[in-house]
Amino acid sequence: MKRKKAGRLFVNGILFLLSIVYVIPIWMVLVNSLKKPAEANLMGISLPSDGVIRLGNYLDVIEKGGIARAFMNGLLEASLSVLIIIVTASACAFYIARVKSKTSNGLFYMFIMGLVVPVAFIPTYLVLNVLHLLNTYTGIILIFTTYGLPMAVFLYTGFIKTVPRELDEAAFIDGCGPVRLFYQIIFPLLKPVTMTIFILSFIGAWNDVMIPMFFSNSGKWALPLTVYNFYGGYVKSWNYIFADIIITISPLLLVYVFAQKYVIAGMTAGAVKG
Amino acid sequence: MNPKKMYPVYLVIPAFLIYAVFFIIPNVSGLALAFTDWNIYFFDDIHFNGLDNFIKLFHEEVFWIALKNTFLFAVATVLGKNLLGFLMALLVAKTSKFNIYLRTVMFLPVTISTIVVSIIFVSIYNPDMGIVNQFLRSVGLGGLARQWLVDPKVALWAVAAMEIWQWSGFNMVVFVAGMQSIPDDFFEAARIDGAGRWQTLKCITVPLMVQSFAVTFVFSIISGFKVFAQIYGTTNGGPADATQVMGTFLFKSFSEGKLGYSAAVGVIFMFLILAFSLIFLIILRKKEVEY
Repeated sequence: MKRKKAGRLFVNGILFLLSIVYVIPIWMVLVNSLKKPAEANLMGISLPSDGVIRLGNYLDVIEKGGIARAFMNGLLEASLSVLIIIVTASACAFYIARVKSKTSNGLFYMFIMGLVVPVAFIPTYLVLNVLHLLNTYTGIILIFTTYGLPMAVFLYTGFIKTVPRELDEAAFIDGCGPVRLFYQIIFPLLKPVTMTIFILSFIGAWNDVMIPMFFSNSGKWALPLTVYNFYGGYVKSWNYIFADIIITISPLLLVYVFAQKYVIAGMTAGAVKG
Repeated sequence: MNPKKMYPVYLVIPAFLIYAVFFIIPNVSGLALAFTDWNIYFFDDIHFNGLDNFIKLFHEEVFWIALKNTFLFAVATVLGKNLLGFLMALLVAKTSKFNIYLRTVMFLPVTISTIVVSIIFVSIYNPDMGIVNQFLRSVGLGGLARQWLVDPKVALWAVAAMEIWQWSGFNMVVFVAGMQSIPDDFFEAARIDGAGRWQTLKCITVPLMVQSFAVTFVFSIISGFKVFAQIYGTTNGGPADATQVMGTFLFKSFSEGKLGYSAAVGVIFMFLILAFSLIFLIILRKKEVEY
């Protein structure tokens, strides 16, 4: 018994060390974001040696890095695409879940394909060009929507199948039209999966860099790419780079810390058997 | 009750329209563009040039390097993420305060944008000051210190390690959920029958988790092949194209204005990912256990 306890203690020790491997990069970024440039460039893991916490780095970064604009860009692009995903994918999934036909089946598999196939950048570029959507918010939002739809349709279809059909029938007999039937009666019942899709699609769009990079110029880029305002040159000021990184990751980290259960459920939803 | 009236087709139309315009049309036309000489300098002057792009591609050494690297990166990360994720899941599956702390911390990097993780690791892998080499020197293993992102022999593996760091927690959470969904009676029965830990793991836990493995493997195969920001943010394909992968190779020819040519890269890329995930799914389907 004693040996078993010692073993468990040993395993816990190893696990604790492993957890440090996960935390220390973020700690390193945090402490260096508060140092003066020369010390930050040493990338150590100790607190500022002179004991001065330089929050000024953050003010500089916010001013020089176009943080406010990038934050608004990200918020706009992520939230609007998520809104479109939720409104359209849910209705689409309602049809797929309820109607048994070749069309419905074909639609389902067509959307599933989107989970696997990578973004076809060059032809998408052409399509956006033809529609005059290159370098526009609308273009970016619609591409984010497109690549969020497959997972949303997949998750909604699975969930709607668990909602009893009798509800549709009762509402229909009471004279409810199909659109009202869906959005007023069924949609509110899908709240848990809507929450999941909201988190999954929002994080996906918020963190993505490829779509804005290919299809727009820097004026429409969101937070993750602002780090290049400080990272690009030959002389690097790591205090600014690190401060920018903290600003970039903190919105999601805060959400993660306070709504961990939902974030984990949201991110892993497609992978965990429901 | 008329189902056609209750579930009219127009419910599908908004989602289908967006998807058709920005996914189906591009992917289908990508096949056509791959056989053209389209480029940014003669934007409105597209000609079919048969298999030229593909022939040129197969003669370009960097393409083969990119293909090989993509494959190596995918294999290394699929194995790393799943082995580490599974091992951690075994150790933290029981609910306790300490285990919940561990799960929280290990999942945390998943919420960070890949490009940001890459830049954090550029500093971590810094040959002189980065914490990896500093740590190695401080424990007397200075001989293992490397120029992680510069040495062509280790650069790709260093980036793979970063990817494993970021995503192993994700797989761990999926595995924990899979383990917790196995009914306790099974373990109870195994214990009564005198099965040891190893036997229980081999004969109960793993076979009943085929579903979880299928999903995490397919997810990591797809993301392994789609690798882009990880390389773009760290080595950008360097030194001298040694760490070029399909994603960065595609972006490079795109930035050079060779649009038809990069469409050809895109087509090969797409078939590669499709083929690997399908093969894998088919293999696993056969191993699935119902309970």
